[in-house]
Amino acid sequence: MVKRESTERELQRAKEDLEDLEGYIREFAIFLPLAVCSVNPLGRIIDVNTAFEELTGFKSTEIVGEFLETIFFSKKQIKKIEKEILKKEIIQERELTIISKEKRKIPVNISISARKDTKGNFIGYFLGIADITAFKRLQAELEERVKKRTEQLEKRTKELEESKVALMNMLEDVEEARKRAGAEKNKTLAIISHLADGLLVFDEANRISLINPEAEKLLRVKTENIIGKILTELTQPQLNPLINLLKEEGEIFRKEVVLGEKITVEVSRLQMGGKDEGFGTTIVLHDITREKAIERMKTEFVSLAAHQLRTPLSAIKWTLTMLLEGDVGEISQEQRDLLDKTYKSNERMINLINDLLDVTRIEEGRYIYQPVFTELETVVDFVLKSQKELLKRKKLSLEFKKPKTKLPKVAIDVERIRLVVQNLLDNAIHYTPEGGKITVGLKETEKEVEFRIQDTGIGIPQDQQKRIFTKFFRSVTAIRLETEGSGLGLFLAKNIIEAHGGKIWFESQEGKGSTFYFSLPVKKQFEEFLKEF
Amino acid sequence: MANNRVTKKEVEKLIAIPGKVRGQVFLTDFGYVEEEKGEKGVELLKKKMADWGNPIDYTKVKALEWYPVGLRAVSLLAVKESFNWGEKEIFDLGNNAPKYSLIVKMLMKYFLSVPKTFEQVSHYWEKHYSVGELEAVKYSEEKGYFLVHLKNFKIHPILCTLYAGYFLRIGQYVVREEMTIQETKCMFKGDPYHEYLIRWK
Repeated sequence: MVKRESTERELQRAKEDLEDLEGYIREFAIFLPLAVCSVNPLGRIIDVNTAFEELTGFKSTEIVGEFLETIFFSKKQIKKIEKEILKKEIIQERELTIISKEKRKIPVNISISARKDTKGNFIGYFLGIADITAFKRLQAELEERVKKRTEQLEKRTKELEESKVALMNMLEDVEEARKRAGAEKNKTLAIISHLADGLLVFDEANRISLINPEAEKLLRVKTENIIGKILTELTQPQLNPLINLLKEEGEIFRKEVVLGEKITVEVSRLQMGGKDEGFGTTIVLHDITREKAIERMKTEFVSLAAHQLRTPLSAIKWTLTMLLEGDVGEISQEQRDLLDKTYKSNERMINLINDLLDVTRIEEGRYIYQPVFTELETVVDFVLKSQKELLKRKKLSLEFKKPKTKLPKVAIDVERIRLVVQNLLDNAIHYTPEGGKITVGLKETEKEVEFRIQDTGIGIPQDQQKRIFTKFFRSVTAIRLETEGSGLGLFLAKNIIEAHGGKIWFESQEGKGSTFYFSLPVKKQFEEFLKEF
Repeated sequence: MANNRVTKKEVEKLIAIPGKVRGQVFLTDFGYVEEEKGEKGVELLKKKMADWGNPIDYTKVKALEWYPVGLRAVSLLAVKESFNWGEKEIFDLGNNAPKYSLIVKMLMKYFLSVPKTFEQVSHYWEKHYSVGELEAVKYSEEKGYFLVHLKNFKIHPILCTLYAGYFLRIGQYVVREEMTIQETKCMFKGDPYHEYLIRWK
């Protein structure tokens, strides 16, 4: 009886333990976050936990009894794994896709643990299912980012490759251009080397960067001694005249410079690259030594010839004067007329000879000026009065517009300036038809006294105006009029005015008349004037 | 009898039948009702039980405890009357019952194959009932059938339908193919035992 009661108590305790265990398993199954199901050897689901229900959307009653493959997207894969578990006890981390009740695909990792009874018989397995949606999303995002980054890198690489190709093309072009530039440079150097003119090139820092052989010869220097030097570093004495000229600011065009006793050059300065963006200057030395020698010989010849001609012309003049004045007897009117014409022609010849002599003196530098400090108005007035008779004969009116205030004095060689005014007045008279008008004026500008003579004459054709101050020049309109004139008057005038530090210029319109101007600097201080002479 | 209302007296008669059954069977009924009919269904079932003097309090039932075997029929009759269920619904309940049963889950190791099940079926019955015997009579995997006899177990005809569904589910656990079950002999029809024939293709 006691034994029976004891057995019943033990049974009761065992039942209670079993119930506790059942409760524990149930709670554990509810708590377990991993979806777990128990599958029998046939592949039917015999139990699932709460997490499984939540993951798949199937209630326990809906899915228990169903084949496991029901919830898997790939039936083939899960069947393969089911076969595999018969050989292995554990399968871990297999990535599959399950289909939820709502037909949603869920990526999962499954792990399987085989169940065996005490005799080692396979009695099914537990299947753990881990939702890897978040991980897959992250992975997909990561892959997308990697893909995008890769695409960007590929694009960038492509761009770089294209840039590289473009650069290579540019380099080829540059190389080609460099070769062309090199060839061009060689060609230019060859031209420069064989240039008949001397050439000096100064860089931006005013250092000599190039000198050609002709310049070496003209300047009597060696390239190696002057390359890289600036003007003030050049110590060769024969270069001094050139250095002095180059110190001047502004344009230099065909300025004569005597380098030693035997060489004369015309110097021109060219700004390379324009005035604003200059990258150096080029000095051109044009050797005119031979031309100067020829010119000198020509001048000497003209001078000699003129002197030789003037003596007999003077003798003729005096003979004619004596004849006209009846010193050698009475002459008829017819004889007087002939002698008178001869006298005038002789006078023109003498004037021409005198002009030629003046020209030769100017060219030889022997034209001596004897300046005095005087008023220009007096000189002009004198010349105008001397031509009154001629003006009357040609029926020309002359107006002298004197300044209202007294003009300052100027330093002039009175004879030479008188010659200038005379020449300008002669031209106005000769080239203005009868009935015309000549207007002379004087005015003071800021630092000068300006002379002006305006006529209503034939004017100078536009295309010939540039040559008006050259020797022996006579315009076609002047030649057509068959007027007297040597073509030396304006040449002399220009040389005389410029020798006084003044300027001479004109305005002219063919058929309407011309206006000639010259200006002379005003010397306010007598001492200043004296310093120059 | 299916259409007639069960009286309290009839219930008491059933409870008086000798023999025991595990509390798990009542929990299975309760869980199924809860799943199918929800909270309202549960209330209806409780009310039905109250009408009969509360022979079963589902909230206090313990799965492994033994209860009067007649209550197995009482529980089913209460469900049937609460929801006006017919044989099909009772069959389905039987078919789903193993899904809820801890005992079934624990005993699954005995149902690994048709031969194994054949060997273990009596043992399985004993785990649930203290009366009656379930015998596997014969089977043929080639021909696709399994024949079982339930002997000395005459509680109420409603259980015949329940067991048909139940046995079918057990068969489905071990055979992949589509199955059918038929009660070919019944003690309530004068046969000496209940006979169930399970077939599959």
